[in-house]
Amino acid sequence: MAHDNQSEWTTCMKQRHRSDPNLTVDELRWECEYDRIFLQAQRDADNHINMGTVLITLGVASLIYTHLQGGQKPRPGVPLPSQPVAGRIGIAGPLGEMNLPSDVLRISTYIRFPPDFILPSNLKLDQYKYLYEQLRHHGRLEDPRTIENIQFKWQQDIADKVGSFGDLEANKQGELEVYKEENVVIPWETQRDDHVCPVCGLLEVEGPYFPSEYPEPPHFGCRCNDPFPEPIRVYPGRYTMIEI
Amino acid sequence: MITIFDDPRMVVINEDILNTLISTTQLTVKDLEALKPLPTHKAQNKTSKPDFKPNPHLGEGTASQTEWEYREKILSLLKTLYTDIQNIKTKEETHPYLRTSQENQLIDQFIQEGQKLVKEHITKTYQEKHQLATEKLKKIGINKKIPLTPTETMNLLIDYQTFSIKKIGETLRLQLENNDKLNNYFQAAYGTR
Repeated sequence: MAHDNQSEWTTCMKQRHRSDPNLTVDELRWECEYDRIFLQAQRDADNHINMGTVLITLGVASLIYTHLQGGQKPRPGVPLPSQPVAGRIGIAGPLGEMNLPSDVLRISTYIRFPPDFILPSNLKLDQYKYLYEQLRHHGRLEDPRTIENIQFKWQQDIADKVGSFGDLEANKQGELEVYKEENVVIPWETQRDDHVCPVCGLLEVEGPYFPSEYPEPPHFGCRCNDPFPEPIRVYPGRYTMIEI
Repeated sequence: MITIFDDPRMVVINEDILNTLISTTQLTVKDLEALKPLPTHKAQNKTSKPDFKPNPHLGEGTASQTEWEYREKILSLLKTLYTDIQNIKTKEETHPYLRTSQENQLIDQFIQEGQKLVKEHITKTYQEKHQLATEKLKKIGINKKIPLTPTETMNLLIDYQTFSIKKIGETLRLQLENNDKLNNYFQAAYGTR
């Protein structure tokens, strides 16, 4: 080894002298000594890396080999993967926890029923089905998009208007028909709000009216004359305001 | 299926049984309520559910107390009819013909009670207004007796109001019958209701 180092050192000196003749002997010696140390370090590093790579490769190869060979060591009583498994392929006989494949264990753990759980009988399943049907119809009837709701909503609006019209007309005519054939006039009184239509406003201006000439409501929802106005007594041939 | 371990509650099941158990036993009522009906031809029109409350914005001004109560009474009859028909429709074991018969009875009852309500309210209102008008005339020096017999306008108004109630009931009867017949056809033709 010392011989090799010496020859390398001599070779290095010759090569450096050829490449740069101006270098002194001390400079040549220092550079070659410096290079030699680093060269040795590089060789050692390469050797270590190579050794590590080889070890890793051997380890991986060992793992692959183990895996290809079947992995687990056979245990007494444990069926091989090719053997049938209960509940999946067929019943192989009474099984214990230790000889169950991992996937079956996972499923059975997932289905760990509570202590009070009872497997559903046919009666219970029928009850569930009945409950589902009830809820389905309940949801359909509660669904605002069903035809029944649309039709009832239409009739609700009509019934509301029927009630409004009936009560208003009963209130008006109940008084108006008593005033008929009497010497009275009756003004037309609007609600006097922003919803009063122009026709109703004009009727108020053109009043009062004799009971026999009292105008009919010009439109649906007319709430003029509610409550009905006070009658004004008149004498034939002239209007006379009577203070009440 | 085979019982394993010492715990009898543990069973070995395959995926199909697992799915069956989940679908039939693991669903709660809340889960079932969350189930939406399949979209069918019924789900095309959208409207809100009837609330059976008088519309406060109907007509000019504001409804009087008596008018409001009268409308509420009519709508409450309609609400009763709606609820009873819903209860009939949710009973699957009821035969379709019996269901139609029960619906007809309910509608007849609605018409009968509605007409009675209308007649009583209109008559009562007329009598009150007759009394009020007589008092108003008396204030201005006119003495007039209260009409003892029903007047023509009152009879005609009662006739029209009772007809309106009958029209509402009969319209609903025809529309519900129309729905039933349409549902029967779709169920036979496509298996949907």
